[in-house]
Amino acid sequence: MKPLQIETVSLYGPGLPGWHDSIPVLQAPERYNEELTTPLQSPFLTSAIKRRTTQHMQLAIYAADKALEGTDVNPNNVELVFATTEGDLNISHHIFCSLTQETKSVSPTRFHNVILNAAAGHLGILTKNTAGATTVTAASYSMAVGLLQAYTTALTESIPVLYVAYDAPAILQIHTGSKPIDPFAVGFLFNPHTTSQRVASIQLDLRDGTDITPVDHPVLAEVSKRSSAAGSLPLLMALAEKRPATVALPYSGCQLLQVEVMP
Amino acid sequence: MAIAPTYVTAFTLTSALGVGNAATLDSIRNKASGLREHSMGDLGRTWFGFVDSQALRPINGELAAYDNDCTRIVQTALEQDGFTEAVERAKSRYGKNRIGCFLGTITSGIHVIEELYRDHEVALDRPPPLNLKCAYSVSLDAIMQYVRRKLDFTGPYATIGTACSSSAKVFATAHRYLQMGFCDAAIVAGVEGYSETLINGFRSLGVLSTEPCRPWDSARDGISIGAAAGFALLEREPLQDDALALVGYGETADGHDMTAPHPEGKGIETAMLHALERAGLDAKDIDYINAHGSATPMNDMAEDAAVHRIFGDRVPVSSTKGLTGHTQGAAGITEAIILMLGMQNDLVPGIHNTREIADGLKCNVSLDNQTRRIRYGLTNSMGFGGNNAVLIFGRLN
Repeated sequence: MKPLQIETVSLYGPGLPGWHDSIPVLQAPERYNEELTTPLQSPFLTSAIKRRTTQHMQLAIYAADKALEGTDVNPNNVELVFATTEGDLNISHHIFCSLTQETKSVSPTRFHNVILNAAAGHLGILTKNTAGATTVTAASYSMAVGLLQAYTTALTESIPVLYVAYDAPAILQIHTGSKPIDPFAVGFLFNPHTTSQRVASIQLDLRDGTDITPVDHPVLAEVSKRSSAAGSLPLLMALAEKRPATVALPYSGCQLLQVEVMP
Repeated sequence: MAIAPTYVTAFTLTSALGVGNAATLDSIRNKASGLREHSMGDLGRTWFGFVDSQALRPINGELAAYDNDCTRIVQTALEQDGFTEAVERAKSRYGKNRIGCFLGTITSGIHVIEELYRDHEVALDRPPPLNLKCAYSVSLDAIMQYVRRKLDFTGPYATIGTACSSSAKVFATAHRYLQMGFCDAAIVAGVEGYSETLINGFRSLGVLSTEPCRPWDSARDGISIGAAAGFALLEREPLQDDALALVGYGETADGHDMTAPHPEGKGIETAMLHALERAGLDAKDIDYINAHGSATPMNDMAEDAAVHRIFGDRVPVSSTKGLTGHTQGAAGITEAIILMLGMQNDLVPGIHNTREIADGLKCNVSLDNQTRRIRYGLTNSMGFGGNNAVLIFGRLN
């Protein structure tokens, strides 16, 4: 498969306050402090946007902003690929409760925010982005499935692609027995063309198997299992270490997404 | 430069128009809408495009956990038009790990959890106790897992959720995976069942018609919803000389509003232009346009303006939502298959329920069925989040 440049990375998660600030922790996980939390702050998260959106969408918008920051990519014409485990299940819960009432009155705002592509829609309106936007899901495999979607889009169309994987906790958990989800978002600005910034290049391939790349730190390893988006941690650690690596991410019950990382 | 065609080697549609392609074609030819009156009790009425319940049966055996009203439609659809057999042949040719699947849906089996809420004491701080059936029904990934297990393939996959453009975008995604070589055949699908969330969500927005929807009509007042499951098998090479193929696609966003389209249809216009460019075609090459035509006042006005700017009043245009209802996440593939049936049978479907074209709408709306050769046909899809997708299919020799 062909290589694709990662121009920038963005990150938000427990103990991971942004990509650049997290690089030392990802290089030396013994420094990791899960309790360290920071507010979601971004010029994109205006008070108006915060009123119209929830944490689930704000995580995506934050990661998108941070991945675009300082790049030459035009935010009103960049292809979006978003991935999340489900839509915002807090909103779903609210709607399902409304449907138990006699009036079955659904808030119009909640109705349009319950769709899977709500975050991409709000970001597109905010940035007046008219490029294509695709939101994918594959339950706990969403991050890897979205990564392959972004990779194929960038390389076949020969365009930059902003890829964001994000998940947020919700009162409604439809996957019985699953662990509580952390707020987590990761963004990658992919560019098939040469750019002034470059984190690494990647090549993707699908392989049969279930042996994913482990996270060599007990607490971070647990974090990586608590959401699909956090499943990106082995890849983020390889990128932080700036060394060639092969990372296997869970893609399905019997397949891996193999990521060749070339700094 | 035009993209390489992606050949459609099998397809099938189950909707309110009937189970399978022959029933669908018969209904279109006979102008027999599948919309039926649906009472919402004290909340009024609407019209809905249900799939014939007599054609559905429980899912048994090792996949019984996936059983719900939505997957029953999928089960029935997969048994029509030799589709499963076509997938088996593709597996024999390429291997089961070389078959991909890209599926669009908005609500999956959401009705299962709606019923769970109705049957329990719930509050905003107290969801109902969930069971395993929820995970197998309600997850947006559930139908994909059912299809992968039912047809037994393991290639690349994704469930796409971009509202009402979802199952149009699956065609573009499949084309890219095929071009990259991640798979040798790709199943594309769109699935939507009945849900209270959709009915009452659109009712709350004030765009759920109390009559059968009337696209482009002067008295149009909103949508009728429908259920459907459509499947197509895409490959890089044709299986016969006279083959249908995806020859162009365009995907854009409006960047304008979460629910309303850009008032001048700028987003869908750009998507149509991108599709023509990828197909290497001019506007004059298109023989028929299956419009999104949801029958809301704003949508039809925006789409009409966009179509007219590119195609003028030469190309016949119709919306088939008066026949099927708006099948939501399945709308893209529902209308793609209706277009392809028209291409195979020289049939431009007429718009349904429309009595008088609204003032100011300028497209060449086909009020009745027409016999016409369609070499190239285009279909539009527009969704919440300002998400647009356009597909162009060709009949290639």
